[in-house]
Amino acid sequence: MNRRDFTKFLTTSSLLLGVSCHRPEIFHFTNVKQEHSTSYENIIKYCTNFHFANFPIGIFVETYEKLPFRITGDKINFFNKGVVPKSALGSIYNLYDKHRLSKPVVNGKETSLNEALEHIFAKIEKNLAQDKMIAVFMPLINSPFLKFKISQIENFTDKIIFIGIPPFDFFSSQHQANYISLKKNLYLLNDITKATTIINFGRDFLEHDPFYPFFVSRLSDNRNLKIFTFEDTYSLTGANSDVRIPIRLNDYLMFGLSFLKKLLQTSNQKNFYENFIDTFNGIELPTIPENILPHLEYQLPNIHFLCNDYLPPSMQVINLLLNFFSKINSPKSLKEKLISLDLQYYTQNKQKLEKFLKYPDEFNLLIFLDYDPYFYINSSLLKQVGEFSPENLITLSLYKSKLSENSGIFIPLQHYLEYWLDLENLDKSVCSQQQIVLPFNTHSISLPEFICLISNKIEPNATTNIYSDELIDFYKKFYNDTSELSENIRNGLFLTSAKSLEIEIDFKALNVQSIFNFLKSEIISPTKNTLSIRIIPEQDTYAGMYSNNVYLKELPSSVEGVSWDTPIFIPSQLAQEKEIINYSKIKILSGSNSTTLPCVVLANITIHSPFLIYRNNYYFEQFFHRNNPKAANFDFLIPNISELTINCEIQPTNDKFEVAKLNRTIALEEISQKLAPLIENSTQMYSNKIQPPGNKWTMIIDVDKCIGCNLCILACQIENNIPVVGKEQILQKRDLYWINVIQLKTRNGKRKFIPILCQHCDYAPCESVCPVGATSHTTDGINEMTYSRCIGSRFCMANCPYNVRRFNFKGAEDTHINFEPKMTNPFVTLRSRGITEKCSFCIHRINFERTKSSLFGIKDFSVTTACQEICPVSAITFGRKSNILIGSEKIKDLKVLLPNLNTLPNVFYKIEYENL
Amino acid sequence: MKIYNIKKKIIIASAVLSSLGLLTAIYTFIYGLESWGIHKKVVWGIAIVNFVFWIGNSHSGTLISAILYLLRQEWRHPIHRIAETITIISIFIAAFFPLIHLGRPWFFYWLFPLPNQTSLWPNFKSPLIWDLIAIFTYMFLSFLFWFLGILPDYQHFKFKNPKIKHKILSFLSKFWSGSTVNWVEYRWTYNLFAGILTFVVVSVHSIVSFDFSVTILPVWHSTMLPVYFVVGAIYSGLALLLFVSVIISIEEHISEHSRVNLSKLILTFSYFTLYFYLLEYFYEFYSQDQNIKSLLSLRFDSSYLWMTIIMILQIFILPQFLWLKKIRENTKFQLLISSNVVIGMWFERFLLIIPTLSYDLVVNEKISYVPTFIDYSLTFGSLGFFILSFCVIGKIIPMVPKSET
Repeated sequence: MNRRDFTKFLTTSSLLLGVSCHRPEIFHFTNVKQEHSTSYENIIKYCTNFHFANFPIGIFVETYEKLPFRITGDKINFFNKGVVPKSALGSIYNLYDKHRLSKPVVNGKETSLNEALEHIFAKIEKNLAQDKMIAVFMPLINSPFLKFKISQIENFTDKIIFIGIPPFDFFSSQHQANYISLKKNLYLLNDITKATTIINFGRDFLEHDPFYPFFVSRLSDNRNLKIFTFEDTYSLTGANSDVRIPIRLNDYLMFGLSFLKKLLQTSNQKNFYENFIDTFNGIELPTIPENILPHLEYQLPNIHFLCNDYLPPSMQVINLLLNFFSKINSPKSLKEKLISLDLQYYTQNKQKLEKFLKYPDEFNLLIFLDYDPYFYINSSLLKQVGEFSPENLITLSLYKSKLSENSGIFIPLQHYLEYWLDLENLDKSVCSQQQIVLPFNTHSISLPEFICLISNKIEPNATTNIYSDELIDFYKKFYNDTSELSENIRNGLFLTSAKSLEIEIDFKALNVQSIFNFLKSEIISPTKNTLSIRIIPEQDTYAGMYSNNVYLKELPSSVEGVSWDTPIFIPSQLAQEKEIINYSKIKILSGSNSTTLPCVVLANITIHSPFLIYRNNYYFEQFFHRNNPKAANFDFLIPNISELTINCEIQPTNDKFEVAKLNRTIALEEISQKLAPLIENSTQMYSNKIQPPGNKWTMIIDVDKCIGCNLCILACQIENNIPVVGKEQILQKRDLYWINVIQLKTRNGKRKFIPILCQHCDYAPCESVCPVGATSHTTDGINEMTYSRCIGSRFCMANCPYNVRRFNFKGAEDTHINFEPKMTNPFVTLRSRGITEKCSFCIHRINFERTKSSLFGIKDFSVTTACQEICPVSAITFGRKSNILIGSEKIKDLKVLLPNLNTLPNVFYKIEYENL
Repeated sequence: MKIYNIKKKIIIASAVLSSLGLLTAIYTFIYGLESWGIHKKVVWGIAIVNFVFWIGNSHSGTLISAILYLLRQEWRHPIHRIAETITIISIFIAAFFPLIHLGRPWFFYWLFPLPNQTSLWPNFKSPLIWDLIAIFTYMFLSFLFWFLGILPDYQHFKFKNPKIKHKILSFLSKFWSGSTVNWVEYRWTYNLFAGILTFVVVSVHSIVSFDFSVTILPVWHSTMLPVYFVVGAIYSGLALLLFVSVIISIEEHISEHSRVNLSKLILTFSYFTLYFYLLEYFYEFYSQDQNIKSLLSLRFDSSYLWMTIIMILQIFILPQFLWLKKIRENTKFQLLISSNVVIGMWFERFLLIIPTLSYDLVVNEKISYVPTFIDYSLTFGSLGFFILSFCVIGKIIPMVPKSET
């Protein structure tokens, strides 16, 4: 009997005994198996555009039949150049969310879509007959087709007005500033690609910013940038700045003026300077920090000034003047940096809104189309809407909300991946927002389809086409060659060629003296000593509109690493004064209203500037604490003024609050020990002849580039079906993130961010100790995990010095909060209870590429991991060792984590100690 | 009568504890490790502390019966069966903990080299496999040794049911007639077993220590750990043995000489343990390794300080009273000191295992670990099970050998 026969014999006997190894993991796949074959052939990459803060940003959605599973940035898109905001990435969840799938409700009763629509049309007809006005609120969408449809209605009747307001109304102060100084409807966007220095007045352009994709894509082009930030909060931009100067909200204007004074002095504009001195005589201006002065003297044309959109118009004017006077000697560069945005459309809407706010009695019916004043921080609108009776309110939204519960008619709206829309770009080219999947809910309707239906209903001559056909008919008018149209649709419907982006402004016509006088009148108000809280709307969840998105809720905040909660950040001086303890609840009193919020004490902000990153959690409270109807009332935190501050009183309470924090910091003294060059004294452990060591998969993370936005964590989570575990599990330190970002505070106050993932060590300490060999080394250097073999002894976790392995205390289905369907990516298995998991270097992508290349007979192939694909600043490089580490000299510059343990990691870090 | 009442109460208490432990074990099996206090960093909780602790307790048995037998120490006779029974029960309890601590305990048989169609074998490089082999060998051999030791006493078995008694005794009578030939063969086999077991007893706990010493984590990664573990194991085992002997001596006759000798051994081993404990700090001083330094300083960290102080008091300072003859010979003090040493050794195991696991090497940060109710009930359940099963075995089998006294 040979060995094989002997094994067979023993196997049979062990089977008879009822003890045989079987693979339980397979059953997780059976659900999916029916629908999807194991080949990747049917994957289609859709290029579509995501409506993000009024700008269409290009994204790719990779789908498998009906199931989208991956969102990445479109590198050729003008606006975002491949940078994807967290909200776009996390929104794939909103598509599947089971709370979204509900039926239309008419007067508290569930009905069908058609019936609800009939009710709406009846109401509209009734109102038109009564000669009353109807207001339709919707987010500002720059769509030619919708504009056409809306204009059709408006031509036919002036009783229906459409009000499109951008989220958070961030144009407001910019718009006013433009009106004061330029008398033009322009929005000026600084293109920072050619800047060497940015002087930033409180703009968090790396996180809470409507133009996040724009700025980050520009920032990644330009890594030699020096950033000086003046801020009253502690933001990610501040943490990434070379110099961060904490100031109070009132100080922005004063600092702006002293910069202006300095610029006028240096830029040979003596008459302006004299004007300035005359106007601001007797006003003491703060001194400019010394480390900025040399930049002002030598690099003036390359300095760009940025300003927070929520700061008052006077500050916006100063910012405009600063940019103007810094470039006055080289007008060419001024021309290059300005990008215009036609605000006429916005102005029209603004006027309509003002009309509504002034004469609400003229209106009888309000229709909210994906627009919720509770979440777009618009208090004046909220006040007026509150006086309408439920009968006269109609809501169409993705989720049931506070507004929809008060409305007579509610219809669920479709997700943006479910419908067609055309969008106009910044450069006036038109692109499409493509339908990626058929609507999950047959009772839902899309926003454009609804407008289209009303339009066709109102206009008697209209042909009642299907919306998408009508959209294509609309564009057929512009195209004689229909084949071109269909190609355009496939490519993302770029219908007209891009126009010039640059505009010229005649600054000579500026009346500088009048502007100075205006500024002077603004600063006379003495600095207030009353406490005010700065409200910063969270962009990722649209200030809470999508706070039901558990992915975004769990994702740790970039600087403080707070997960799940929206604490108020209190300056440490204020905390001492008021005897507030860190991680306690504090009471906020404003007028007769009060609420309690968890607080986090921060050292690096000035005493009068507590700030709150605002996220109205109403949806969340409703869905997750159904038995507890007492949802916290945040409404009074919606400020009345455009600077987004509220005057209030803060009182400490005795309640403690457990803040789920996920960030870890590494001390500066230790970094040279922990991240050091590889000790090259050992031979290859897995030296085999089939795969030379150069063939190993290797990752290089550029710590100097990393901005700490945590996008890699989110991308990894969605790619690898990592469940959202919930706050309680995070408090018990049982999060399942495969990537952790640790922070390093440098000497000059700047922060560095170091993403830590499985290091795929050559001498992997986890492999040798696994009793069943569930974790092993592949021939191309990947430390792989066989989930079905793992019995959960957790020896690998104990022996991993990097703490990157995670244990499934429950199965993925049980752990994941509100998880339907079972997975976001059908090519990665869901992990069952009691097994360990960790970063796999996206092994499913590698296997796919390998199969593909072997089919086509290609020898070498490249792979991008999910984290690499999404990294907005391209800090992650992944590939074969021989390809990405050309020459041995490069390895010497690179650092590895904990080299003294001699684990020979395959993840390298690029960090220069001199910069720290 | 009074003693009988106390005994009854102890048995009831231990039955309650062990059933609680059993229930929580079943709960863990059904609902997973979610209910434990472990998390992403401290992945081995007090289940592993208990494992090492009970393995340690099992060591006294073989030491008394095998090593002292080979050294012809006559005072071992009255206590060797107690020691061996402790061994058997302890090792069963010890083997239970790694089993229930698995993420998927129903697949524990994957640890065995079972032939299968996919040619999957366990990873023989893993210390857990060594553990498994060592523990099962030890369990098997100790059981045989224990069985061998009770053979001459089979007539004294106390079964209530006459039918079972008759069957078992008639079966055992085939092995043992008490003849001279029997005794000669018996001595020869006993000698052989004692020889093998002496080797096994040293190797088992060395192998258990490999679970820790083959890792790359500071403090654990040390060559002295096997010896330290063996010494610590014998120390705690001796203390447990003394404790049980004192209690049994209330009813049965155990010569004072044996207990005094045990006390002396405990005193000796307290020094051995102290030596290795100090050696850890010497290593820290000698290597100047920052990680070892900060890790050892964790033991004096606010959350573990109380435990360290109690542990030092219990296992290093309190046994020094055994230098005094009066205390050494006083049963009450023997009871007090031995029980304290047993508890202290549990703390010692805790302090060896948990701080190292809770220490994040990358950012030099401690991630705290708080055991839950389930963790504690499993721990106390194991204690209850120990007492209960000892009482049950003691009810059937004479704990003080009749044939040798």
